[in-house]
Amino acid sequence: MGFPVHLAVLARKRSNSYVGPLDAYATNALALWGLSYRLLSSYTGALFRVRRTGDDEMDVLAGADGTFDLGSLNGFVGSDPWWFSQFYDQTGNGIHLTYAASGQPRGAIDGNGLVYAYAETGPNDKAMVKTGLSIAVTDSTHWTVFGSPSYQTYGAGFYTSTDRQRMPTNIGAVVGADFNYGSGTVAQVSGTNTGLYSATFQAGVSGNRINVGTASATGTKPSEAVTIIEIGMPAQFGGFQPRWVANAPVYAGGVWIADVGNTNADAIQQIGKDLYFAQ
Amino acid sequence: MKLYIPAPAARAMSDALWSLSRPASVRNPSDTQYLFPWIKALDDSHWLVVDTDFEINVHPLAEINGIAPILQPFVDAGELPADTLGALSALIESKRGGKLVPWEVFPQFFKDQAKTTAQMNDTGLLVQQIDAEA
Repeated sequence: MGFPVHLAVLARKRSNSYVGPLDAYATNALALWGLSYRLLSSYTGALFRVRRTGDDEMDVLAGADGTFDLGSLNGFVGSDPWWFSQFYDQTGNGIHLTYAASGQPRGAIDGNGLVYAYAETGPNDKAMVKTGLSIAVTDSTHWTVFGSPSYQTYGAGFYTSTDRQRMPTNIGAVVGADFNYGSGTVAQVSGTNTGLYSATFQAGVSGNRINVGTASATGTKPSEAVTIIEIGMPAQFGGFQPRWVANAPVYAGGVWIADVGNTNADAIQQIGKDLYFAQ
Repeated sequence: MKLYIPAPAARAMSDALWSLSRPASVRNPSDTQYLFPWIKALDDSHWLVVDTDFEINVHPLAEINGIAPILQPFVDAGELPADTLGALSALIESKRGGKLVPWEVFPQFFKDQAKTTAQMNDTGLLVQQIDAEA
């Protein structure tokens, strides 16, 4: 604690008209979680909730300038360890990430005055998100995913629809250039996760961004309308790792839903909100 | 270490365990409500996912109240010793204001049924996940 606030953050505080870094990508955003910033200018709620050593908890808000309230956070946690008990969804869809106590990521402030979360143990010990969002896709043969934000976004995401807990892991997404993760292929997974659904994923291909239009997934529609989502934004692995990895900072996350390859509009019929499956 | 414990009342159990650290009287609706996460396995059974090393603060007002009704049926069925609840209550009282590793006070009956992730996969309760190729 106690790092000096980065100049960029101070500059933002001087602005009276905040523009969210993901304002241009709000369409089809299913859920967005940001720690240091409001990702959408339309969002005015708390960014996250923290639990301190004594087990008291507090929401941390963002000001009109879009940045989190560092003074309030410091005042609450002092020099003691603290954890994230919730990341609030900034889309208004109410898909907050809520963790049981034993699965809560640790919180910290980096040298640039940005908030990040990380796992105390790992690798692959705990999922960042693993939930039963029920999204029924009603088009004919293809379904889903990945509205890909482009250059210098603060977060990106994916979702994979499967039957129950049958999901490939390590499917890709990235954080933006501001967050200094590696370059190269972001993530690429090819394979079959179950007999019910064969997927080929290519999510992000170059540099520290996802190119618009390159991220997609196609496959046969799952036989049951149960969707598993895993998502997260570790910053130092050159790609997306949907589980907490020890000491890998995470700054933001999100999920987009996009239609691919058909003329029928996908219908998001139901969004479950039981998010306690994070393990 | 992460272990899976079969628990039909996983949510209630997790809530009751967290109450040892944050009793309902001091807990806000937006606060953490559960100690351990849980899963629904492929056979629809529920399993508590226990971090065996996780330590909690025991609140000065901690009671066995929430845990007792969950364990009582196991006592009635003879699966737990008759003195289980009394011993657990005494332990909680002795730990008030201190620390506790919940796994260490789980009844042996539950510990004997614990499975690792690999064992869950091997028995078809979880599907093995695919690693990244990139």
